[in-house]
Amino acid sequence: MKKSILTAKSLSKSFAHNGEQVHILSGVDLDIYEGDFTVIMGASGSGKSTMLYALSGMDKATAGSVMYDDQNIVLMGEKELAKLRYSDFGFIFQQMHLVSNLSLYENVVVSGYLNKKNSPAEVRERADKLFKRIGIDHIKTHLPSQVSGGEQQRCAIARAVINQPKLLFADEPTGALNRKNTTEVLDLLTDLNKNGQSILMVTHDIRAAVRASRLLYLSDGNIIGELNLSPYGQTEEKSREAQVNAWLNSLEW
Amino acid sequence: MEIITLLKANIRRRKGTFISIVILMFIISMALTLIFSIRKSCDDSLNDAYSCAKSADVTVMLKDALLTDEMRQKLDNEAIIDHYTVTPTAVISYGIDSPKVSNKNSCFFTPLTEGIKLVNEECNGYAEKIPPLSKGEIYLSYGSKSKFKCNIGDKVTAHTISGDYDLTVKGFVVEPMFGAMVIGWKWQFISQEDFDMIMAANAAENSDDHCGTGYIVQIYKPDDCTLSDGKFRRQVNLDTDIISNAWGSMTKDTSTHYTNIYSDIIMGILLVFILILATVVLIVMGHSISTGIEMDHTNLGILKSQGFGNSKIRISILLQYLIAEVIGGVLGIFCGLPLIGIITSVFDTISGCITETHPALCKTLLYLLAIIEISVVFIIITTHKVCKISPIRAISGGRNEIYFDSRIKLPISAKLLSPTLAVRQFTSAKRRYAASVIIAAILVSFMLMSNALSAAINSRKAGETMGIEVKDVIINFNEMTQKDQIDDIMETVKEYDPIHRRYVSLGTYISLNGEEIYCRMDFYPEDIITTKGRAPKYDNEIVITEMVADEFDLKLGDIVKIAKFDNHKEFVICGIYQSMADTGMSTSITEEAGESLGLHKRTDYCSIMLEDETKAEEIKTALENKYGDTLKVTLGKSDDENKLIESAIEIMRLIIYSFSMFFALVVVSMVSSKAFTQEKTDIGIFKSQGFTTGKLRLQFAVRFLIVSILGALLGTLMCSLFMNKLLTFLLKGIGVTNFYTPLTPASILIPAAAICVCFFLFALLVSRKIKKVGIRQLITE
Repeated sequence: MKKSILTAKSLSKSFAHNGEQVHILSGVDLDIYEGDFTVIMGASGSGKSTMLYALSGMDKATAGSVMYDDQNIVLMGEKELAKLRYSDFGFIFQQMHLVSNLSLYENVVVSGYLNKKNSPAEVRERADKLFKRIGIDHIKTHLPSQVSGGEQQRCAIARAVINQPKLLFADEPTGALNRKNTTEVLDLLTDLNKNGQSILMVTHDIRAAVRASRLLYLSDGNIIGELNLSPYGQTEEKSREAQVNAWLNSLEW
Repeated sequence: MEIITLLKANIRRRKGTFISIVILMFIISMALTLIFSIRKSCDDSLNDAYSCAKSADVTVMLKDALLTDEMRQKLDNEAIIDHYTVTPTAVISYGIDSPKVSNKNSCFFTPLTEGIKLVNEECNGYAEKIPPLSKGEIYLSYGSKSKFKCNIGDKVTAHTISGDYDLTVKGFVVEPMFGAMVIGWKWQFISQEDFDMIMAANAAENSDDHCGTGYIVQIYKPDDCTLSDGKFRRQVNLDTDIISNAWGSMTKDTSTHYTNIYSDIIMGILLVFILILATVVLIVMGHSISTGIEMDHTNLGILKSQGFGNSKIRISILLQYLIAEVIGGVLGIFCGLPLIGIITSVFDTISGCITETHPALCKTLLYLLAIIEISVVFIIITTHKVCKISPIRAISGGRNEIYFDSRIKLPISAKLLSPTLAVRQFTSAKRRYAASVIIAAILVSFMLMSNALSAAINSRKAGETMGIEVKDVIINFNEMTQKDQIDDIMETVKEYDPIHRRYVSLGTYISLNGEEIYCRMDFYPEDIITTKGRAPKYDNEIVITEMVADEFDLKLGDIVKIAKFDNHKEFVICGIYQSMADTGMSTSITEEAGESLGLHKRTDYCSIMLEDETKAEEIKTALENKYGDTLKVTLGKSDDENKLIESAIEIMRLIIYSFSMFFALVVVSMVSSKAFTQEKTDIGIFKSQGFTTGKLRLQFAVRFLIVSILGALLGTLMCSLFMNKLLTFLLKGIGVTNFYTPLTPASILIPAAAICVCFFLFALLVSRKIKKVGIRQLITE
């Protein structure tokens, strides 16, 4: 029996546009389980990213609840949300969003320093290990503008996991990368998941989707399909891809 | 049409910048309107008063015996004189006492003369008619109102050689030649009956030592005379010797200089301040345009791709700032106009003249146009960046990085996370903050300058160095007193506290190479501090101020011809000293030298600077007990003229401080708003990592604290390099040729801290917007 770490109930998000209410999420019910590599797919404009931001507390939902550790994220204040971000959640953006005047290493340790449970020495030790592990140790003093997109995204992943979050959110982390860099980033995420990291990722890339252990399909603000897969690496990639494609076709993707 | 559309969109989108420029120009325009209009109003009103009172180009006060037939003949024959008038005057040798003030300066009484105007009861204009004076009544000149602290109906006592006369103040009149508060001598008006009585009584008492009757000789230049008043007086004296024989004289130019002296200095300092603030506006505009282009890179690229040329884009930017400047300028003029009258009335009691409001619109507009023209050139240069934008590169996101790698890389500290991040934000965008540092430096340096000025007025050491007489104890003798009696008083004072400096002299006007100049016969010449050479010792030695040396091209060791009454003698310049007496145009000789020029070794006034000023009260009591009614002792700290100057300086300091704070607010708002817009994404990133709004606001404000600290350091440096020169230049009018900076750590720290606190708090205030920044903007749908 899988243990749920995040539960959304009747999660809704709507915007006022030219005096009319536009509903992006319409009462989503969802559980995210510990240890899973959950991937949310859907057509452009289906509200994937909006749902990810609402679930992670980066954006406020209009209605509904998101329960984490018996607390409703939707009702949290700024300080509680800030604490959640530097202690329990990690976030990877599509456009990396590294602070441009901090070096790659500084981008990572600054987030680590925020969590006062970690001593500065611990943060630096963990960052050193991460940089070696993700292969950007040799460029850690570079500014983001001086490295490639793939290297930036790897740094962003290191930043997201520096505080050993319970749940890692990723918003199309390969959306801005070329094929080679995409594979490297996905391998890294898969590796993290194998080591027990729970991940919730939004993507419309099949190559990214096949890494998931659980796939969800979002359409018109609601989850309309779910596919559970065996852990990545246990089956051949081609058959895994075919299985995902068939599922997506059935949902008229 | 397309430019107008673009312009409207720019103004709509950058309302904050637009409003800031309007406000800054509003302040500058209002200040310029006030400065020029106050100057014009003062000048025009004084000139009106001169022409109404038919004031002469040179007015000479002369002992009656010296206006001989021979002298009259010389005057009649003098080719450069158009005409002259002679008015008999009763000399009030020992001054006038009001119920509150005892004044020892000589006065000259005459019956009411033609053209003298009566100030109305509200003191804001003139009465239509001037009622004739009855026996026992007096019209005092308007400058005496504050000098004597008296009002209509008060009784004043005139002390003459023939006795004391009580008179009732019937009103105040504008007598422009001697009316200013800073001029010691006063021309007052009494009834014909009283005048005849005092003249007769004084004439009976006239002797070689005392003279209570004289003439006011008013000498007029022909209309086509090209000589300045000073040169005219010199020529008249060379041909007739009238000035050498006189008690003293006053030219119209000198009178104007004395009358407007404080308003000129204060307005001069404010004008320099305002013009430098105009430079600040240019810096702010340059910064705003430069960052605006940087931030609008993509939009400008799109416009170019749609066919907008460089010139159209640049014109739209130029017009945006030009409109803001014009609106601010026009509003400033309109709001400044009603304030002219209010502010000029403050100077009325100092100038002794009712100032009517005369707006100097042409001069203000000319200056504003010059500022706007400079800004147009500046904007054209700054917008050159637009030409470098390639449409394709801009649209494809090929924008240059806002941040640059910096050599100043302080590590990010875990314990001081927010401050070290703030330092990094600053060091990696140094260019963006350079303008703010310069602005903070300018503001701090001006605040420091106003502090220095205030400290100079209040500091004993500074005052002494600059030639201000630092008086702790002031003694007025009831009768002319000999030096041996004064020596005895000094010994009494020494029993209580060592004397630092004695100011005991007999002041008079002498002729120096034909020029009338103020001279003090010093009873203790050894107390004179010279900047070059030494104090006078012998009866043929004279010390002169640097201003006299510059004016008449004299130097140490030069021989000068001195004349007083009928005595002519050669003197050697043995020293250069600093004195603010007679606004710096002053000389000093020994009592023996004075005696050789026919002056008497007596005085009715002396003042003392003590080593310990706190002993003054005790000394006052001791002197009054010992010498009883023969003298009157007052304390220097209660000197009204000093208080008035101190208040004027304090008002100026207040204006500079308030303007600086206000400018700091506008500048910080503008710069931080731009920085905020540029860093919106970074703020979002930090928030997504767990930074709270509070931490980010602190980080944002700390950056401006760094900016202000650097600015304060630069400002202090600028001040130490240029302040003395600037203030010496501005204060030359009151005789300061060597401004001494009595800056203490406190006087540096206070303005520096004020600017730092302002920058920090204003940035913290502006950073409220951080709260509104959501992480949503990082989302790419």
